Amino acid sequence: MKLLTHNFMSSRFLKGVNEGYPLRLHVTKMENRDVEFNAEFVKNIMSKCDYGALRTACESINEASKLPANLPDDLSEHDDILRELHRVLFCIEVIEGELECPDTGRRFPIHDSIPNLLVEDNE
Amino acid sequence: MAESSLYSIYTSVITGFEWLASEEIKSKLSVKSQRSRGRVQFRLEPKRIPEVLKLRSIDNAYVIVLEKTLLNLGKLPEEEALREIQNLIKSVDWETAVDAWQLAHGRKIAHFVGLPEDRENLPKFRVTCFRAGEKSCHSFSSMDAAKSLGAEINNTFGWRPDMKNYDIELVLRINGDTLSLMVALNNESLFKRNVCAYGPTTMRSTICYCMVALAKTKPDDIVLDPLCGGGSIPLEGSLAFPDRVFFGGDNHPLALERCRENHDYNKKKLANTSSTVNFFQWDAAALPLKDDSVDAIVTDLPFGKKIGSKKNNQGLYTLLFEEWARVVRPGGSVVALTSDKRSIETAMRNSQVWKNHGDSLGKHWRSNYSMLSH
Repeated sequence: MKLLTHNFMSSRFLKGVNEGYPLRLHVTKMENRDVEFNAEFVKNIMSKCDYGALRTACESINEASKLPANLPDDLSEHDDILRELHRVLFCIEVIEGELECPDTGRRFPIHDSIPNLLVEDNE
Repeated sequence: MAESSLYSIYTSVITGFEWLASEEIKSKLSVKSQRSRGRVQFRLEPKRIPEVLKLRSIDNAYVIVLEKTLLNLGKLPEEEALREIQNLIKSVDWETAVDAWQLAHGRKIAHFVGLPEDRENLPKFRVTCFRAGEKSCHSFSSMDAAKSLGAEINNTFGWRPDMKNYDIELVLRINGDTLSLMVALNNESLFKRNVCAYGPTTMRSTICYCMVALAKTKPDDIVLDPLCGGGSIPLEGSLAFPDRVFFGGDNHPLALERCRENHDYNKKKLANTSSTVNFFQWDAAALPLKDDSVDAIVTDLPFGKKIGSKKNNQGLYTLLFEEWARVVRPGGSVVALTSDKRSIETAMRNSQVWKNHGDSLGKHWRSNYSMLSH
């Protein structure tokens, strides 16, 4: 699971949860993958992402040190930031870990890169 | 290039998606094509043959090496008709057949006119015969026609017949009195390209391509298959359409195992694309995604035949379309494949946010919904 994917996820599907965002991330195993850098794609995808949630996720796995507190308006002028965004969004692969609903504390396993969000009928 | 030196290419395509194949051919090869049921034909320079095999909407590709009308073929007794078919060998453009095959396969074959001393290195081949239209008009069977032509090729060129491990496949098409012979450019059907782990309802990669193409996605789009099975739609999508994000999920653990296997099978190809694909285990009617976060859903719904039942579909489709209305952004779309038209209509009436832009296509009923504001 990439952090890009995590950025779109919410536990709003649980009964009684209205926001459920962002999911807390607990990682026991992750890898860095080689993915070709494409500045335009990163910039455009960022316009669909929530930067605050991305930064929080990066902090929880100690990968936020090179990320600014806020994104500059002229992002396309900042190649270094785009490259760092590319790295955290596309290259980091969470292999094993858990996702946690921020409202209820319900935990969901991530196994072999695939998060499992199935719940019982009464949840 | 002179018109006469162009190859006549024949491609077989999914019935109902001929127009889409035609569009792909126009945009990628810059040539016009003629289409009829289940096939699209066009002319192309020989050296561009490898480009044909990169098309994503075609199941099989051939070069036509003979087109001939044998008047009264239907009236001839069996023996005479088969002799006429054997005689076709003299009219075939063998040079084109061999050249086209070599261009498509990227290797040479030993081909001589007349029988060489050393027959070991000669290619192996098979002839397949298809007859379109009224078959009872002929006094012979398709298999006998294939056998007769095959025997003649073996006698004349020494090529060795082999039904399974052939190098060259020749396809004889007979429609009434009209015959054509084609040489196959691909040995394995092109629609098998992405999948190694098959499930009970795995779709051809070519159908997956056509469905994703129908959604008219753009770069940076988030594209979702909530019922992805072995992942064939998101995998084909990310291989065919650059700069997009594909999500696929299923509730069944075996489906996710197949997703992993198929993902690994395509690892090299995926490393060369700019799109990314991620899988989830989830309930398609309770998606762990933010509101309005998805640009398009492309999916193969349970038809209620192999999986599920039509009775359950009514309720299921309604739940799915409600949840999808939540995650798809206003203006986004759904391309769904099903034969259960009635359940779709019920779900549409119940959810009220979807508008049908669909039409009927061959045996598959296609629904292309775009969302109204909600």
